[in-house]
Amino acid sequence: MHEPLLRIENLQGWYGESHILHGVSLSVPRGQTVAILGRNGVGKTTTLRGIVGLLTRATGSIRINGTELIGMPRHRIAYTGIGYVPEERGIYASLSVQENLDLLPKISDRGISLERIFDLFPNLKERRRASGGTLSGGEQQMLSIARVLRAGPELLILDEPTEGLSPVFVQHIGRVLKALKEDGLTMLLVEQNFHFARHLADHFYLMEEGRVADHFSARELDARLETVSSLIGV
Amino acid sequence: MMSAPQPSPLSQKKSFQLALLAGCLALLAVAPLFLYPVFLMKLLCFGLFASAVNLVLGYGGMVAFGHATFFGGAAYVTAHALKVWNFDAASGLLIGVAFATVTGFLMGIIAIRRQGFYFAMTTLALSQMAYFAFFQAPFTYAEDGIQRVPRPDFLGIVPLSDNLSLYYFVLVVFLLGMGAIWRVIHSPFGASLTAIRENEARALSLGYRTNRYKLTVFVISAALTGLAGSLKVLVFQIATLTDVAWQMSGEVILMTLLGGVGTFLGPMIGAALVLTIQNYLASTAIPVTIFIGVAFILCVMVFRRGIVGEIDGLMRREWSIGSSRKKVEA
Amino acid sequence: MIFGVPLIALASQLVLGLFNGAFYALLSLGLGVIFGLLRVVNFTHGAFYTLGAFAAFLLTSRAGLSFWACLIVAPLIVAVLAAILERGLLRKLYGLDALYGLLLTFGIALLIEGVLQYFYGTAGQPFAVPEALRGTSNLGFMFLPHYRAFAIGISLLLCLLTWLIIEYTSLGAKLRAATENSRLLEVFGVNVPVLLTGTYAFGGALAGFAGVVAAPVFQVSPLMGANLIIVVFAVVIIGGLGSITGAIVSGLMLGVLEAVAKVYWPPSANLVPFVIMAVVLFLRPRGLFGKGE
Repeated sequence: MHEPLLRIENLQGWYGESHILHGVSLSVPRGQTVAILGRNGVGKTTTLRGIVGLLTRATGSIRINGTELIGMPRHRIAYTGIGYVPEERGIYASLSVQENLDLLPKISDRGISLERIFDLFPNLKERRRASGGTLSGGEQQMLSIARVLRAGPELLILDEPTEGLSPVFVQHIGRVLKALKEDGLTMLLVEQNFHFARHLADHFYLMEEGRVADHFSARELDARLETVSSLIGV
Repeated sequence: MMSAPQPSPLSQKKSFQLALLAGCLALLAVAPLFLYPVFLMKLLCFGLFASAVNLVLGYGGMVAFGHATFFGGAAYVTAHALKVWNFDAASGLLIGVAFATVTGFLMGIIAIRRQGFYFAMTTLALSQMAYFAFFQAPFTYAEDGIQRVPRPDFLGIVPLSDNLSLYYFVLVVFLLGMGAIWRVIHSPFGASLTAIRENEARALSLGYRTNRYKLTVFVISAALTGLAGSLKVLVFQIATLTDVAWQMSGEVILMTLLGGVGTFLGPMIGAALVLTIQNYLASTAIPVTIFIGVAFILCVMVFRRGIVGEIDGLMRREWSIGSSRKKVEA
Repeated sequence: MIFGVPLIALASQLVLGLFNGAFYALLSLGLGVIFGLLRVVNFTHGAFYTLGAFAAFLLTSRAGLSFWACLIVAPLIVAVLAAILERGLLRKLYGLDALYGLLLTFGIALLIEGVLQYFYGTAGQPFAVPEALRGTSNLGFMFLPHYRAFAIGISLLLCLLTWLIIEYTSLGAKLRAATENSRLLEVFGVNVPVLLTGTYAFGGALAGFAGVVAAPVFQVSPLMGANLIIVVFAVVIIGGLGSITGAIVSGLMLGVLEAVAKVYWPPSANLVPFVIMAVVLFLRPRGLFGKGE
């Protein structure tokens, strides 16, 4: 099948009173990883928010497996196969790690078992009973990814997964995501850490002022390295 | 080609307001010919009460749930002064207002430390404490209340024992009270208050001592509420526990809401509506609380701006259609 | 003798205090849970309590149900009504200032009480203590009325059950998560709107249950909820908005303190909740057990 898993067409998005997205179009092919690059404030996070229904208002089209997401009640979106790892991580402080892990309803039988999760993230196994609020940034990020994986998404959406993390955690997460990619998981990520994105992504979209300025595959990246670096301020 | 200059929207609005005022005054002057003076006086008292509450609620942006303490408290004090200490009408009113002012200051100091919900609950708690204190105090006679309060002449000259002459007296005091409210709103103080209500954080960063403003408007509101309560005693010659109960605070908030929070005439209209319907329902078996409950529900779900607010909104649209200039604030 | 009061008198007053406290706890628990999730100050809570009592009254006198059946059916009826109110009216106000929710629930409470008043006047309806719970036991240092003991016991049991559900079940986890961040929870696939309706209905059911338990002791009258609700607000503030433990502990504590006040200085008894509330608001507004402002 050559139909992309996720196809966004001319997405206009508002967050509060601000009109942030001015017609974003991109697609995520099945089984591949797409990275959105760009400077701060261009609308990368807003685009992801648009997919999961967190914008104040959105027009255009967002289709996953052909199903239109715009206009869908927010609590049904996950069941189209989306797993969302927000920028702020969203770990619930009044829940323990285990409770955070068990929180999400299963959206398919692709869900990763608890054992496998603890294999991927040994720290979480140690801190099972701890309350979410006592975790370090890196542990929170891992938990944020882990709990979504348990639900069994087809498309994993990650917003700045390495932000503010030490190199050890960054490497760990990189390994985990690579493993998931090899298992066939489709991923869309926003990442300021260009090098991290580079080692993971098959396609890149460059955003500027609320729209897509350019896009190219990983192979073409090396040829365009200089232009890209200047555009995203690396 | 000569053409007379068009009057600006601002002066159009001002002359409209003046005409409205003159009309209202005329109506109020002849009203006793059509309606019972006692009912009219009740309207005036509660109109003043609601307008005073509106100062805090609409212009101050604070939900105060304890104004019954000022209303009923002043009523008790005035009643006691007139009946037991043989005060004349003027000093009777004054001592009532004084009591309300002091109590308002005390409640304000404690409550204004918090905002929003916590402020409202604090005023409610303090009001409940006052309620039970009044209940226990011997001079209030608990459920019986202070009854058969005399109506002494005003300053020895104006006789108040007659309902009609009392009506004009109450009308004058009412107009003075409303005039005071108008002055407060349309003053630099009022403008600062609006700024604080709309964005307190910003006002603070600009250097405003916001708590001072909030306390001041709270005390003014309490004083005028006390005036309304004391007037009520002159009219009905009785002061009871109902006047200090939290349900009274709720009812007055409803009047303000119904008429339009943050508008000048709104509370008056709301009061008139509520009292008229209460009056009508009193002769039927239907409990008033049903009406008040429905009114609250409608106000919140549908008429959020209140009657005057809705009308005002309509008129604003007219003004801005009629002129190309920006809308003018009242 | 303790401070001049005979032990028997003090002990029986304390039992009464615990009895009242059990109601405070149950009601403030429901109110607190509703506030925590819906961010609504539910004035209608008092009316739910009254409705529970009236439902029990009608079910026993008209439908011949036993008291025990009422303990289940009456709260269910209140829960259904609460669910309808939440879906029909309250839901529309969620994006707005919290004041609107307060005023709406206030209006609904007045309406419900007014309608009950229309049919039953302000006088109380009689409600007999169930056969099995009549009588008292002599404990040596005091006489313990069976019904009071039952009321205290079952109220505390319900509080405990609620606490267990919230702290130890996955439903409770979802509730706690929704209290922290409900929008994200929706993105994860949890049906938050249903959770909100369910929570409001559950809170209403708790209040209705309290009403049934109250019926044999206090008279079943349309006004029974009105003055109780104000004290319950005080309890919730003292315990801390959003704290389950706070609601239960403060409720019981306040009941006991009121009782003690009644023994040593009767006129102060009514003031106790409000004085403490004012002090707490002044010194520690988030309440004794509350978490953050």
